[in-house]
Amino acid sequence: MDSFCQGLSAIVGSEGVISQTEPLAIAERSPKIGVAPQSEEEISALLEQANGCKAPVVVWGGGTEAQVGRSAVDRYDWALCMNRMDAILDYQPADLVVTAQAGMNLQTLQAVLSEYQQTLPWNPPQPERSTLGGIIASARSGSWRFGHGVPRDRLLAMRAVRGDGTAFKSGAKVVKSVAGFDIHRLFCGSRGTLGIITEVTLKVAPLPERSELWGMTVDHYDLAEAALSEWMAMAILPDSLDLLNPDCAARGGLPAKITILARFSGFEEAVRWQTNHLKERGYALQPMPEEVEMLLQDMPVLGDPLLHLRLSLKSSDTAAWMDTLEGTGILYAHAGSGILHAMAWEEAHAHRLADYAFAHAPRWLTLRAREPFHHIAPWKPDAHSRALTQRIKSQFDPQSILL
Amino acid sequence: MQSLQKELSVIVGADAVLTDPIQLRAYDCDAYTIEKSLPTVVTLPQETAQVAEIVKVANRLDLPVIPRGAGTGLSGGSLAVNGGILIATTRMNRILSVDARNRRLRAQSGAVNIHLSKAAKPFNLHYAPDPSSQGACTVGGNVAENAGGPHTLKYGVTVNHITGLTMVLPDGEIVELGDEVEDPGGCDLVGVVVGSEGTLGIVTEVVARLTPLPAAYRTLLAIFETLDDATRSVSQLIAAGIVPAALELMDKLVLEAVEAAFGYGFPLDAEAVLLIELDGVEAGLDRLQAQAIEICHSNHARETRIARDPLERAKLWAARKKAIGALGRLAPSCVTQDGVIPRARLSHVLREAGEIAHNYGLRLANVFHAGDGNLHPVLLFDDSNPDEVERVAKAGDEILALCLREGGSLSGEHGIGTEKCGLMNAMFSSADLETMRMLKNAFNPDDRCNPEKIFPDTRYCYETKYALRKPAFGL
Repeated sequence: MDSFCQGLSAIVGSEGVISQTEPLAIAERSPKIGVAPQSEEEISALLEQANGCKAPVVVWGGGTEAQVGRSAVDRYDWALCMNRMDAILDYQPADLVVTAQAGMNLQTLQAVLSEYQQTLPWNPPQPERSTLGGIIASARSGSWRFGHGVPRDRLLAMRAVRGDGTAFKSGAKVVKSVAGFDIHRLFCGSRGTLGIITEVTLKVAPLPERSELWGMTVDHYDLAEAALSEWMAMAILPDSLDLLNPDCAARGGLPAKITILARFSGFEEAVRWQTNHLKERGYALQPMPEEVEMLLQDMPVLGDPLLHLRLSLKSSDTAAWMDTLEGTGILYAHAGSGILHAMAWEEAHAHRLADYAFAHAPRWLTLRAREPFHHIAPWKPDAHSRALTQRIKSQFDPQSILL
Repeated sequence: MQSLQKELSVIVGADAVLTDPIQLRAYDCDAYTIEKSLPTVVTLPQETAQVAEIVKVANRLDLPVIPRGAGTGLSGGSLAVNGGILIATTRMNRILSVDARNRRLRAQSGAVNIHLSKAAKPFNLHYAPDPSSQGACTVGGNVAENAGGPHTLKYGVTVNHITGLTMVLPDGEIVELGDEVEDPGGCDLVGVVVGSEGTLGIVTEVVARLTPLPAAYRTLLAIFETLDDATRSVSQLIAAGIVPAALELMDKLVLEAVEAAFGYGFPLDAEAVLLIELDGVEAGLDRLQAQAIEICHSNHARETRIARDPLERAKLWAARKKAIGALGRLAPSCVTQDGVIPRARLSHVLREAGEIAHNYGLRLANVFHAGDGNLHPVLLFDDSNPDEVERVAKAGDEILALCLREGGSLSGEHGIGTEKCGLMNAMFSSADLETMRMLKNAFNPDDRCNPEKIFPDTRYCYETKYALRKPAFGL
C-alpha cells in the first residue's frame, strides 16, 4: 500500500479502501481507488482531502445510475462508495416516518417497513441494488409515480456533505416543514454533483389491504389514447397507468400487443369497484401476473440496450409518440405521467430514435448509450436551469471535484 | 421620489404606482400584524415583462424589491423592512390555461388560490392545496411559503402540485423553470424555489398539477371531553394506517368563538373536537369511517356526528376555515404559531404549550392540522398593551422551542419571514444556514429581492425588530 492509500485508510480504515476498481468504472475508465466510508465525518474528511489534491470523485450507491450523465470522463480518481452506510437510524411506525443512511438499498428498507404493515411506494428498477441516496440523487421513479409521486414528494429531510467537505442538514423529521430553503429537494436529480447525501428522512405509507395489477390490449395507439384520456377523467385512482408497445409486452411475458397496465390498491371493495367500473364501461380488463411489473422495471438493465432514452412528454402525447417510434425497439411509458422509456438495440433503430427524440421531445435524459452513441448529450435541460445549476455548483463544490 | 414614480409609471401605468402614504399604509404589513414598515413605493404590474422592468429599475437605483401576493402571509414575508419597491401581484390574476386531459393549469402568480379550483371544477379536477385563506391568498404567495391547508395530509403541500414556474431573478432576467411535463432532468430547481419566501426571485407564473375531485366524502365530527383524548385519537388514527383527507382539531376556546360567530351548533361543553374527512371512491369509505369512529370511541369520544349532506359538510369546513377570524371576538388581536411535531407527541406538546401560555398569563386557543402534527397555537392579546405584546412574543418563542425539542420544525406552512428569523439558529447549525446562504448567493447575490428574511444573521433580526414593533402598536 503506497502512502496515498495509507492516508485514505487512516480515514476509512483498511477495510474501507477498495483497490479492485474495475467494477467502479465509468465510461470505461476505472478510478484510481475506491473508498467506502462509514460515517459522515469520514466523508467530510475524504472530501477535504480530495479538495486538497483536486482529486475528482464520483459517489457510488448501488451503481445503477452511476453512468448516467457521465458519457465522457477525463479524469476520475476516487469512487466514494456508500455501501457501508446502510443502517436504519430512526423508524417511528406510529408517525409513518423513517430515517436511514443513504447507502441502504430499497429492498432492505421495504422488508423492515413491511413488518409494520408499511411501505415506501417507490418502484424504481433493481430495488435490491438501488440505494435510497441514489434514488433521490437520480430522482429515479417507476410506474407508481402516477399515484404516489416522485422521490422528492416523500423526502422530508436529508443530511449531506457539500463538495467542499462541509456536512449539513436540510428539512425536518416531521411531515411538514417550511423552515428555510429546502436544499434536500434541490438535491433530487443532482446526481452527486453538489454533495454527497448521507442520510434521508422519508414519509412512508400504510401497506394497502389489496393491490392488483390489471391490463388490457388495444389494436391501435389512437385507441390507447382514447382509453387513457377517458380513464384520466374518471373517478378511479390507479397507482400506475402504463402503456406498452408489443415488443415491451412480450418482454414482460405478455402477448405481443399494445397493452395498457394499471395497478389498483386500497380496500378490497375499492379495488373491486374500480376494476368493475372499467369493465362496465366496456374495457376488456384482465388481471395480470404480479411479476410483469418487476420484469418491465428491470428490463432496460437486463437487456442492455444500445440506447435508452427517458422522454418527458405530455401524457396526452405519449401514445402518438409510441406510434411514431414503433419499430425502434421497446417502448415503455408511464403514460399517466407522460414518461416514455425508449430502448433500441439496433444501430439504425437507435439513430431513428435519437434523431426524432432530440428534434421533438420537450425534454429527455440519456439513461444508457453504448458505442457509437456514447458521446450523445446526456440530457436536455432548459437553458435557464443549466445556468442556475452551474451557479449553485460553484457555491457548493467550488473546486468542482464532484463529477 | 417623483422621478422614481415617473419611471415606474412608464412601465405599469400611473394608476399602478402608489406613493401616497395613506395608500402605502395598506401595504405596511401582511397578516402578521405585529411588525409594520412602509414600502417606498408600491407597484401593481400585470405582466411578467413589467415585473422584470421594475426589478431593473430597482437595480439601477439600488433599492430592494419586495414581492407580495394578497398579503395574507402570517410571518411577515412581504414586510418592506427597509422600504423599497413593493411589487404586488394582485393584478396578475389571470388563469392562462386549463389542460384537463393532462391535469395541468397555468396561471399568473396573483391568481387567487380558489380560482384555480373553480377553473378546474368543470373537468372534475381541483387544485388540492387549500390554505384557510384560499378565498383571498394568491398562488404565488402559496409558492413562496410552500403553503399547506387542511387537505394536505393526504394530498401534499404546494410543492407537490407545482411542475413549472416563470420567475424574474433579482437582476431582472426572466427564467422558466420546469413546465407542463415531468422530470426536469437535473437538480430540482422548482422544488427549491417553492418555499423560498420570495428571496430567490419573483414568481410570476405557475404551472400547477390538478387533482381529480374525490368521488365521495365522509366528514365526521368527533366530540371529546378532554384534549388528551382527542390528540390520542389522532396519533392512533395515523398509527393505524388511516390517512384521512383531513384531520383537524379545534379546542374549547375556538369552539366558543366559532359558535358565537356563526352558530353552527358545536357543543360548548366539549374540550375538543376532531374534524375528520375521508375521501376517495365510494366503495370502502363506510368501512374506513367505521374504523375511524371506533378509534375515536376507544379514546372516549362522547359523540361522533356524520355530515349528512354536502351542505352540512360545507358548514363544518366553513367553521374550521373561519375559526381564526372568529377568534377576533375574544381578543383585539392574536398571533398564530405554526410549529410542527411528530404526531405521536401531540398530547404531551399541547399540555406543555398550555402551561407556557398559562405561565405568561395568556389565553391559548388551538385550531390546527392535527393529522400533520402542524400546530397552530393561537395566543390572544391586546396589541395596545406593550407588556402583553412582549409576553406573547416570549410565549410564542417558547412554544416553538418546545416543538424543536420534540424533533419538529419552526413552521409547517406559514414560513419564517421576519417573524421567526431570529429562531433559525435554534433549528439549524451554522453549516446548515451557510448552505442555504450559498443557494441564495446563486440566485440573489446582492440581497436585492426580499431582504432581511429567513436568515438569523440579518441586520433586521438583531437591530431593527424591536424598534419596528413599537411604531406598529401606535398605529
